[in-house]
Amino acid sequence: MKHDGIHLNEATLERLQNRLSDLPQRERRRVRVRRLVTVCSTAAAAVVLLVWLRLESTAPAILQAEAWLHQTTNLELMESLETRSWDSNAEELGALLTDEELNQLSLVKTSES
Amino acid sequence: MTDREENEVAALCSDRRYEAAYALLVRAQTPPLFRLAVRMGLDSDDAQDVLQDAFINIWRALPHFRGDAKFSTWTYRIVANEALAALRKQQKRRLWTVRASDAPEAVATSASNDVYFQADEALALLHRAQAQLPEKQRLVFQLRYFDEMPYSEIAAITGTSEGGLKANYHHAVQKIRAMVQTIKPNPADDLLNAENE
Repeated sequence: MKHDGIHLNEATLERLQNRLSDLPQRERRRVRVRRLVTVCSTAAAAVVLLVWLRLESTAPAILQAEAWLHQTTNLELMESLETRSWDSNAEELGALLTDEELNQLSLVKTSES
Repeated sequence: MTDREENEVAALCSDRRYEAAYALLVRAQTPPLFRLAVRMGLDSDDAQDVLQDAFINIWRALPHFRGDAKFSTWTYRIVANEALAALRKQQKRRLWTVRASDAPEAVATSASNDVYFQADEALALLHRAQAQLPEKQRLVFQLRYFDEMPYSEIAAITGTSEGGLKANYHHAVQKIRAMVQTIKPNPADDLLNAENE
């Protein structure tokens, strides 16, 4: 090699060699972090997908219920509540309320009559 | 890089001991490759960045090295490509701050002002002149003139034919001679004459 007039600073060269020698370790760490990020983002995407699918599957039922509510008059709604849900939940509600409270509810009276 | 080191790296790679092979490459090749990057016109910081990017590529590609060329040639090729890419980026940046006609002068002074540069007037003038060559021609000139590489090895580094390289080098010498005479008829011309003889 011909003399080119360029003098490499020994300290700089040593620092550079140390930095370059550390590259494989840093690369491995980077690959591990990247793999972790991939796994985490895949899991997050899977959760989001599951939630979305769940919402999608319940959406028609909710829409149907909303439509029913819009189409149904208040009177029909009351009748429906008395005959369907109230009947089915009466026992449960009975367990939560005292007899006196139950007697005060006009709906209970209506269903009793 | 000596033949013994070349064989050692090859043996380590065949044993799949890539980390040891890489460490040997770093130890043997950092000084000449750093020197090449600085000579190409990069300052010390940019030359270090170039070497870092190049050695990341070397580490990633080491398990896939087919052995078509010597390890030293291969590393030279990677660093030369990185250095050329860095110089192109620098030139693009420079175009925003200086006129295009000023760019070669800016490249020429960066090596001379570098803290690592210490030479007589003739050599400084030679550096200044060769810095004005097109990047690839400059690379060919440096590998041939300063590193005294055979054309076959330069061909493997630059990916051009030996015939093309010889013509390229000849043109580079002619241009440098003309530039040196334009700047100042002085002993830098003698350096080139000595090379041709």
